[in-house]
Amino acid sequence: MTSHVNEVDAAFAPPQENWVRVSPKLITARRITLGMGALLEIAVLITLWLLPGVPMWVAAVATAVVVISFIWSWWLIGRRVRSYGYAERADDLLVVSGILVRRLVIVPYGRMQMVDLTAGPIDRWLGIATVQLHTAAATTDATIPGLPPEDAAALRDRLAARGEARSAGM
Amino acid sequence: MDLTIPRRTHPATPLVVAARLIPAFYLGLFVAAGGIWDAIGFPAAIGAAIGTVAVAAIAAFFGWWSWTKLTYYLDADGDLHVDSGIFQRQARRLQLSRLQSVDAVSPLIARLLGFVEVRIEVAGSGDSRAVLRFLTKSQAEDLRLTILAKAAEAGEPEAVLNSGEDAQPNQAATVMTDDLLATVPTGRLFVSLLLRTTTVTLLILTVLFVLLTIRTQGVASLAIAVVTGGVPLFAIVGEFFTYSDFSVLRTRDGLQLRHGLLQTQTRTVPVGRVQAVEFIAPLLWRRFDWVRVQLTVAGVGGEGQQTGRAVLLPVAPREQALRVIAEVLPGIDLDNLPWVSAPRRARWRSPIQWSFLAWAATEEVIATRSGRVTRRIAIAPHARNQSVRLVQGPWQRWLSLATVHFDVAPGPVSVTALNTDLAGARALADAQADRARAARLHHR
Repeated sequence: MTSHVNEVDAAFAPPQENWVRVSPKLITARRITLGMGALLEIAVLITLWLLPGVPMWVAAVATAVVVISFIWSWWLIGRRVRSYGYAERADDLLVVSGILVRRLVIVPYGRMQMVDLTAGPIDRWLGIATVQLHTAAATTDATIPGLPPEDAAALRDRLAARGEARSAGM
Repeated sequence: MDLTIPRRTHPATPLVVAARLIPAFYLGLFVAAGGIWDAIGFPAAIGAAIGTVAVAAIAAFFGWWSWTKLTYYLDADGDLHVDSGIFQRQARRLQLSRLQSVDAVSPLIARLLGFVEVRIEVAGSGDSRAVLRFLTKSQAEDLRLTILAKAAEAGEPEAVLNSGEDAQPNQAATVMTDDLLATVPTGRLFVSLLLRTTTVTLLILTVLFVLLTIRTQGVASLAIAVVTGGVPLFAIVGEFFTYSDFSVLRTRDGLQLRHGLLQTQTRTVPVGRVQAVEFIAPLLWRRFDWVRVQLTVAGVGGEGQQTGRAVLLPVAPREQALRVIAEVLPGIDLDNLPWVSAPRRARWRSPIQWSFLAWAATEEVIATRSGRVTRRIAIAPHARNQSVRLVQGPWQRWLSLATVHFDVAPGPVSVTALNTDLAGARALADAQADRARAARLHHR
């Protein structure tokens, strides 16, 4: 069993020492968004409780479902954010993510067509940003959220410069 | 023909467009008038008829007006400008260096009158397609050749994939005449469409439902039978009309695909634009050793938003397909690829197709195969491989499997090594990234 776990670790291992991890502020940001969604659900629950025609047990079950899924999502956000990592190699960028479904994407610099840096209002307030790479393939999924803005900008500039240098069209 | 001054499409265009709409128009007229006559009365029917005629006249007027407003020309930078619109003017500018394809389409009525519609597609999101309707055959041919020439000048010298470093753009091309590479006989096309797996399945279902109807005398099963029978018939007839008289020619500018029964279509695929190739062999085709060949096509420097597809051969014997593919991907020996099969454990995740799952990497291409009933072999040159993804779901983790995706431009072909052994998966991904990088340097 240990060797099996080692095998999995080896498959998703960083090329050098460690993956560069993203900022824990991303956890906060995603939990805030979760909370906003929860407010909406609470509004729906309140109407369920107050509506005369709805039986008690329906409202109770709905409440239980909402509460349990909220706690589960809250906890899961922490784990999922901690699973993000990236590493810059000489010729390509690696991004790893996911807990249940683990993903590793390798994007060669010469194939990058666009590097986007985005930050929504919550991200800006908390001081993080997202860097996303685009290649000619729609299925390339190289998104690194939760980077401090200076790091994000520096990463984007480095990637764009390397992409320029190695660009060879399609 | 000087294409640098703005010019309009042929003056008869509004009439041809109207002629195409006439059958629908008269049908609508008769249905409306007849229906209203029964329901309300004769004067109302006349009123409806007059109303329909009036609407048609207004539509015709606007059709003529918008024809006068549509102009096209080629500017000094080698871009095609198409300006159109009556109230809301639209100036579309297509960069010919990103040319994806030039199609000459001729709907039935237009073909009888000798007119052709030219569709130009370049890679990129948004305004990347222009349709010039209608031109005479010679005008369309002139335009098509000029566009292809400009595209070859403006784009990278990859207009022919297997040209190597000492290639010159178009001017010194060795092939001056068009070579016919393959045709698809009508009989083979028809039989192949009948024997496709979905078609056969739906037809069997139809028979079962008809039998059920006879036993139970129920309307519901008859309705279902009509649907399951009608869908494949529709599909067969549609594809038959589309792919009739299919021929593939090698021309100076790439591969030219001609097909169509009522509506003829000529599509030119610049060879350097081919991103990936797929061979598809449904179960019932294998006794004849037929395959279908599909391509993913895209333009240079595109943002990856364009879905470019082309059916290179709707059905062909394997040897013929390999010969045609050699134009696009030289040096591939499909029968001797070094396949690495998925481990036996993969049968828990892909119970039906596990024995056929494999990947193969040569110096030139990465290939994967999948399927049991419908066998697919997808091939992409290393230079066209955009990124590599290693994905592992929870069941795959338990079984020590993983899936490696070799991403190419959007299109019908996906090159994916499904449920491959975990131990080799990361090595495969890293090695493929290296191969892709090396191939890019060479093709520069």
